[in-house]
Amino acid sequence: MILLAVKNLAVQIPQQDKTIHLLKDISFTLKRGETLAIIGESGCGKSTLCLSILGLLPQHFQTAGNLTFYKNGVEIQLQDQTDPHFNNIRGSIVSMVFQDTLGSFNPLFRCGQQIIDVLKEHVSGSPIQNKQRAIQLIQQVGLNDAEDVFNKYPHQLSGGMSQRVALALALASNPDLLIADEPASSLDSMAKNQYLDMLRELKDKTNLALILVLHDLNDALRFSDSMFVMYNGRGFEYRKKSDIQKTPAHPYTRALIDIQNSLNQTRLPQQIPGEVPSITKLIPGCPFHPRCSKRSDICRTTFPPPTFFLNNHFVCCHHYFKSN
Amino acid sequence: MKILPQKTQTNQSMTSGCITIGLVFIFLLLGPLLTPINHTSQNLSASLQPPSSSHWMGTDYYGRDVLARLVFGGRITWIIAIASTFMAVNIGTIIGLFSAYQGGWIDLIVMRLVDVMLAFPKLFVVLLIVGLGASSTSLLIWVLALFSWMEIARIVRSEVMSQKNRTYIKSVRALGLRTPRIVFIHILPNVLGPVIVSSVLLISTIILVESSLSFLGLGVQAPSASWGSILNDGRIDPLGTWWLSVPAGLLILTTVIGFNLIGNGLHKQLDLKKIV
Repeated sequence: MILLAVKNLAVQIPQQDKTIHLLKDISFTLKRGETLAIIGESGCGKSTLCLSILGLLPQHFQTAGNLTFYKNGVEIQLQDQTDPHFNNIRGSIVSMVFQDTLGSFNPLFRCGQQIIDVLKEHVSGSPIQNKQRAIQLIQQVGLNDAEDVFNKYPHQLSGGMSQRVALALALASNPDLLIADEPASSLDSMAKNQYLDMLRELKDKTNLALILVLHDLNDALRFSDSMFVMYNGRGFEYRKKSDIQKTPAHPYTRALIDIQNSLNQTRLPQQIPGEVPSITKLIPGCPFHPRCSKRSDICRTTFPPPTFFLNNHFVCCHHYFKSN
Repeated sequence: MKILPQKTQTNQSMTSGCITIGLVFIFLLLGPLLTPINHTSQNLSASLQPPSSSHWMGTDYYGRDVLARLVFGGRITWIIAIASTFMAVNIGTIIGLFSAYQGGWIDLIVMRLVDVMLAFPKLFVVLLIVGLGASSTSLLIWVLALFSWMEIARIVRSEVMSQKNRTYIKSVRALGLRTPRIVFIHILPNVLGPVIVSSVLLISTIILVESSLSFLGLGVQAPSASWGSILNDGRIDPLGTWWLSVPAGLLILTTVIGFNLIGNGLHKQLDLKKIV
């Protein structure tokens, strides 16, 4: 059952002399219980994409395209960031764990109080029920001394704890979709795996859909059902994880997988030649062409139209058919 | 191993400010116990008496007990200052919050209004309004409040501006909290520190303005008293009738210094890096 359909989403910042395109033509669909990993280098627009799904982009950003949420057979279409329907969607259908988890708490209130605050907005219950629910949520994210954590101020939490409490906070409104922006980037690899495992368990239990923004391809390959590879504000490849793992269709994805494989085999990592282009610079044609090993003349002038597979999955490369 | 000296947490300006204000407060509270005489009862035969056993602080032109008038006038001065500060802080906080959270052209208009209000010489405008209207204590409180909220609004606005882009505000928005809840429950407590400091400092400013007005005869009207009007009673012969001007002047001075010390102390205590 489809939960969210993003169609041709574009985000731009109009400036006096030019327009900066942060996102161009982003399309994907997400089913209930599905985990989508968004992969890409820093500055490729992953966080912008997350914020635009929540309608939290700054006021001067312009958006185009469609977001459609499906809940209980009702279709909720959102046209732009100021759409009042976002008020009914935030929290109740989608919520988000931010990258800076410690900063996402109000420094003045105890953690438990902040969870209760969200419960008050979304779940009607007596104060005692709310407190029980908050403690239950803290236990649910794998913290044993929940009562103790409930009474702690945000600055008293350790990095790992704040990550988990932030998750409890995001789950308090009982959303159908959770967006996690680099959910475990500040944790060491052991803690990160524990955290992601817990997230997967939670997801399986509650049929929650997840959008994970990840830096680490390994994590994406381990924890996701499908992957969305982004580069310079565009979607390059959107396919099932297993397909990407076996036969990456885009040269960029292939390069990323090769790097990952070389790391896994403890060889010296290969690197993609060239630099990540700045999002403010307009690159004609395919933005990856200066770094691509398969580039040809057409790559310099025209952005490749998507080649579609099943389930709206696609790849954007002029050379996809040639290489197969 | 070197033992680091423990950081001492004494806040001298806070302590001395609290002691000063505490003493003045006790004087105002327990003053009537010192003198049973009503502050308005006249005795023309005992006009301008220097301090004596029956009138500890002497009498004024109409033979009214100066001690009783200092106590009563001080209460009036304090009530006016605190009430109008309270109102100014409320007005300023609400306008600042609203303006900053809305942003855009609303913010632009509100802040230009603040600029215009700040450009008026406060004392002159207050003088004009109080002079035109029938002077009463409640009018004085209103007028003082209406010309004092701008600094508070500016401080609140700048604080809200910096708070509203913090991750925790994005986070509560992402969790679906409504705007009034975000503004009043999450942002407001985070901007209160500077507001408290500047409101304490505002009390002393308003005491000075009120005293100036009463000194000029436009504030609290006779037979009621305020420190400013008592100061005015001793204006004709300040050296000869020193018991009129000196104690009232000293009380104004100590109160203003006391509140300023508390303001500075709070500033330090709340660890505010910036204050307008």
